[in-house]
Amino acid sequence: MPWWSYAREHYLDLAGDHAPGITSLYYDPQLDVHLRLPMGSALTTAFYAAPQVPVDARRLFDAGCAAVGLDGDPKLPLRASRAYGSSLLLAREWGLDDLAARLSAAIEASYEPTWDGARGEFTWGMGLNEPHPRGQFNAFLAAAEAGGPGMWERLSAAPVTRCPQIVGVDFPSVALTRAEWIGGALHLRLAPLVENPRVRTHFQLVGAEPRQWDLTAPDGTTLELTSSALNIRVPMVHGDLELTPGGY
Amino acid sequence: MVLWVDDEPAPVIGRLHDAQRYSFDTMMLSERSLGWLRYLDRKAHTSDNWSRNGQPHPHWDNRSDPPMASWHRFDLVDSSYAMGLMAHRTPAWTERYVTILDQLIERHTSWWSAADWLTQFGHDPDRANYPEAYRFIIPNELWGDYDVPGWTANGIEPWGVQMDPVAANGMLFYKGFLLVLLGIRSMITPDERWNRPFEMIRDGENSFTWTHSQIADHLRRQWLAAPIGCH
Repeated sequence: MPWWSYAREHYLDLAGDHAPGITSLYYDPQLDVHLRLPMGSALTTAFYAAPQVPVDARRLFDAGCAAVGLDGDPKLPLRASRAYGSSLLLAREWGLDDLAARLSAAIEASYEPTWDGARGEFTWGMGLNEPHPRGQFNAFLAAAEAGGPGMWERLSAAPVTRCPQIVGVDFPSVALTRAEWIGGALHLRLAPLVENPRVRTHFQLVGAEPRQWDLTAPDGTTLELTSSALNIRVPMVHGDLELTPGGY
Repeated sequence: MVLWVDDEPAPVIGRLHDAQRYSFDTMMLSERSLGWLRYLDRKAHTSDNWSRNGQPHPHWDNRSDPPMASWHRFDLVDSSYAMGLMAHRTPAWTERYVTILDQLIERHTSWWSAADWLTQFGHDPDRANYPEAYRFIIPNELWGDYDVPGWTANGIEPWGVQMDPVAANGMLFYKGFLLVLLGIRSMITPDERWNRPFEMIRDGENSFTWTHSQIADHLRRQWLAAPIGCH
């Protein structure tokens, strides 16, 4: 990456082994203007660089955290910002458990985690008293919530594992909080918005070999094998399903 | 019919060679993630009009972090990060993430996604009146006579007016983030929807045809031609 080589030397103060001490916001070649900022601004660079150049990103992140005081307890309440969500994602990405815990506690105390019970929706009010959750800031917090060790890097390093898919889920009435293949078995966790064991929902497994499946699932679950899919009907209850390959 | 029940870790392209760095014990959505997924799903599927004569729904964020990020498109791109991460947690159920991403991408091909580039021509006529808060991002010696970062200045010399925000010499932060959005979708599903030609902006003569791969190739060429960075 020739541009990155140039940037790490000329814009990001990463050429030596020292902790980077200043970072560029922009260079304007028309006027030969180079605007540099304190290292706190490098937290943004670290977030976007992490999947591609994680070692450099970690150096930027460490220096940025020190510059803005994230090496200690954040001052509460946090101002509304994307930086705390992106920093939490990176702390979880790199297993920085102490930092992640401090950031989580500060976010919890400052950013109004809010449930809409009827819709089953979760957002952060951010302390802004606005009619709609602030989208950009919520997005970073949601990414941090979904992230975990190595996941941000993995997102750009490799596609999601290609595998037979569950399709036709009646979302948002029903969702799957677990859907993965392990050793040839499909593991699902059903999460209906409203439980009702007398009502059944329906979805399909596609892309798998047409065969019989052994089923471990809530009472009332049925399977129907067709030429193109495996139809699954299951009561609207929280529960786990496991499909293991059976006979042909 | 091909059976592919792959119980091996996903193929790795470059950097993650240590399976221990990715915890397979955490392959589930949290309650909060599911709740936010429901919110984003409703938000993304609420009909609105991003054409030049329309107006995005007010739940799309064009307020955060002015002057650089206070545009609706940043909400689209930022919202995609969680979709990609959630897809890795439920790899056998990805359809909802893809439908949401398609809604985000569709908007990011519309006029409002480039509203800054398509309305901010020449130097900012208001640059002598910037708020004090902008001082730290403008060189001291040029205060009052320099466009703030985020002012796209379509048409200034030596480039002239370039209406296509992807083809333009400038507007890096538009095409780069669009590629992030398209790239996250491509990591979730192998279908080629956005590698078939699609129109962007869709405003009469200001309609431009691209594919995901063409945008990526164009930006790659721009980077290679400008090691000091695109603008």
